[in-house]
Parts: sequence; structure tokens; C-alpha cells
Amino acid sequence: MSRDHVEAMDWTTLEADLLAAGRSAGPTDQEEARVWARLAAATVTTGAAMTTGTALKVATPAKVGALAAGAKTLIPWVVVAALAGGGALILRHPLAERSPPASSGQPSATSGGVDPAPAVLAPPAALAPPEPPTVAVDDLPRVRVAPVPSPAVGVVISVAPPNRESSLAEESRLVDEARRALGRGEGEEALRLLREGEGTFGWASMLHEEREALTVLALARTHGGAQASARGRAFLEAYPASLYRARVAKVVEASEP
Amino acid sequence: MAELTLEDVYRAHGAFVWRTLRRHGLSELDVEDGCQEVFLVVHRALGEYRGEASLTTWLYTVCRSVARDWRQRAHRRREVLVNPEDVAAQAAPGGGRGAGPTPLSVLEERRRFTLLLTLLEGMGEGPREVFALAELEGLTAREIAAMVGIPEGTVASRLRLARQAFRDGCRRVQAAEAFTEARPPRPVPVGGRVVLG
Repeated sequence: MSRDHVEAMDWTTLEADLLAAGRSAGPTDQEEARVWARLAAATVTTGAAMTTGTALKVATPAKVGALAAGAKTLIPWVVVAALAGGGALILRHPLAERSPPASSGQPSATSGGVDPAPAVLAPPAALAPPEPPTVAVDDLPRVRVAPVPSPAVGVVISVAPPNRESSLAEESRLVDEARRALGRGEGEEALRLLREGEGTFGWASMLHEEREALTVLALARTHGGAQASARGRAFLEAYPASLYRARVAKVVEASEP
Repeated sequence: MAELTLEDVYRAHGAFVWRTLRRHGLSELDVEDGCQEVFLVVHRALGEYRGEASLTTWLYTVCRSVARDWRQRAHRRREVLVNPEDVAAQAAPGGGRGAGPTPLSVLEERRRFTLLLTLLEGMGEGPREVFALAELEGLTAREIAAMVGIPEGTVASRLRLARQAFRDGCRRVQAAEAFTEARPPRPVPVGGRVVLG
């Protein structure tokens, strides 16, 4: 790392430890997966034919290399979002694509990708997300209690904790496939995958909200308005601040007489 | 011309965005939502990005805007600022969340990061920003000057101030830690009498 006009410091152990923590800090794989799952679902569109995503143009291959160099904290599965109005989304399951961290000489994900004198690009004006609605306590969704089977005497119960990462990867794969099926217009296939995911992982799992939203959209496509509307209303009640609220609400409104 | 997708951006800069938002005041509870906001902005604005500005600079600008909006939405901010006593408690061996001899665990790293954030918070915005970009993100003075929009000389002076503040803060943490370890047991009042615990 070059130090224009600044000298490197001789840090004490505590100082160095804290700085090291500051350099390596980042989301865990699970946190990354959650962000991506929600981001993917928030950007998916249905109805229109799925198209190739708009790609971000970068002038030089060197920049791409620099970005790859920073890919030391990769997500376990990734998303390629297609953008621009009416855009679509392609989800990939990239466990097999997980690229090893390149160019160990890079001190950070950013140092290699910075232009000498870049012009600051103003961020878009509308950054604020919609405010979450206020909900009275009485209006909150009821807690759904999953039935707990009572074990018979003599039954051995495994106490091994589930492998959460692989569970999440499998759960996300099913959501991913359902979303793609929906994008292809295969509503029944999407519903089958969503039912499979719900049966395996249940309502308390990490991607239940995503499955429910996709289910409403798939029902609207396959079983008409009434069923989708009922499911959609239940979704809006259960997830009043959901990112998919607008899309689900649209389905509900469309089915109203 | 090489094409870069949102996937590439997230792979390369997801952790950078996460750290930047944390340093700009988003709590551990809020940072996931903040990251999502940042990448939704990236998602919406990809078509506008033509590569003239550094991607890092652009992301940093978006992060700052998202964090600023977040702070303004005070009702959504669940961050609890850490007071000096808590800093001392966190610095003490086994202190803070995740107590236990797990120095390499994620929790321990998060504890250190929280302590670092506390020290950064005491620096003031200008020095903090320069310090973080120089010492944590590894940017040069020139890069920081372009990113923050200040002269390189100001970068250098702010960095000096910030380094001194960081050093002073670490000394205070160590002093508090030494005090905690050396403090004698506190007398425990029981029924009007004082019993040495």
C-alpha cells in the first residue's frame, strides 16, 4: 500500500488488534446470504418475460481484476440482478463458482480499484426507503405455534445441531429455482418447489417470507385471483413492512371486485 | 469493454459496504437492512454508472447517503452508544458479549470491532473518516482526498489528529482494563452491616 504523504505507524498490540478487527470486519456468510435473498426477492419481477440483466459497464479489464481481488468474503450463493425498469433477475447457485481470493498482495478490497482522481458520482436522489407503517399491537400477526410431536418412549432423538449453512444453501436453492420457474411462466412448478421448501424448512425458517411472497405471485398466475388474494391478504397481515408488500398488494388489488 | 454485474460488485465490495455503514453509525441490528438499501440503490442506478468515477468512490458516496438518511430516521435507529465504562468492561478479559476464552471467534472479532467503533466515534467526523479510509481500507492520501473531496494536506493533518486520538483512546482502554483488574473486592452491605466480600 502506498502512503502518499502519510507514514506508517508503529502500533501497539492493542492498537494493531483493533485495527485488524476493523479491516477484516464484514458480514458472516449467513448475514450475506440473508441480504442477498432479500435483495433478490426485492428486485424480481414477474409477469414479463425474464430478460438478461443490464450489466454494469466498466472501462478496463484491470478494474474487473481489482474487484475480483477483493472477493475474499464471498457469499455462499449469489445473485445476478437484472435491472432497469422492467428488469428481471437471474439467480445462480454459485457454491461451485466460489472463486478463490486472487492477488494476495492487495491490502484490501478497495485499494486496487480506485482511480487516481475519480470524479464523484452523485448518488441517486431517492435513497430513502418507504417508511414502515405503524401497526397497533392488536393488529400484529398472531404467533403461529408449530405442533411439537411428543416422542414415544424409547425413541432416540438426535441432538446434533443442523448444519445451518448447508440448510440455508438448500433453502435458498429451492427459492431460487421457484423464482426461475415463475420467471419462465411455470407457475405450477414454482408452487411445487415452494411447497417443497415450506415442507422441509417450515414457517420459522429464514426464507419463509420470500416463499410466501412468491407463492402469492405463483397462485395469481396459476389459480386465479381468489386464492392468490386470500393468501396475499394473509401475507400483508403477517409482513406489513415487507419489501414485497407492493407486489403482493398489487395481486390482491387486482383480484378485488 | 468488460461487463461487470451486480454480482461482481457485491462480491468485491459487500464487506466494504458493511464496514462503511457500521462506521457511519448503523448498528449491528441495522446494518443488514442498510446493505440492502445500498445495493438496491446500486441496482437502480447501474444504468447511470458509466465508469468515470471509481466504483469504490461511488459506493462510498451511496453508503454515506444511506447512513445519513438512516440517522435522520431516528425512530429506526436502535443503536445503543457505548459509554466509557462499557468500553472498559469490553476491553477486560472475558468482558462484553461472548465472554469466554475464544480470542479467534467471530464474537471476539465483533467485540474488538465494536470497541474500535467506539474509539472512532470519539474522533469527530472528519478525522474519523480519513482514519478509517487510510488505516482500515488502505487508501492513499490521494485517493482519500478524491473520495472525501478535501485537499491532500487536509487528509494528512486529519490523519495525524485521528491517529493521536486513536492512540489516546487505546491508552484509556488499557488504563481502564488495568484498573478493573486491580480493583479490590467491593464491600457488600448486608442488613446495615458491612461485610467484606
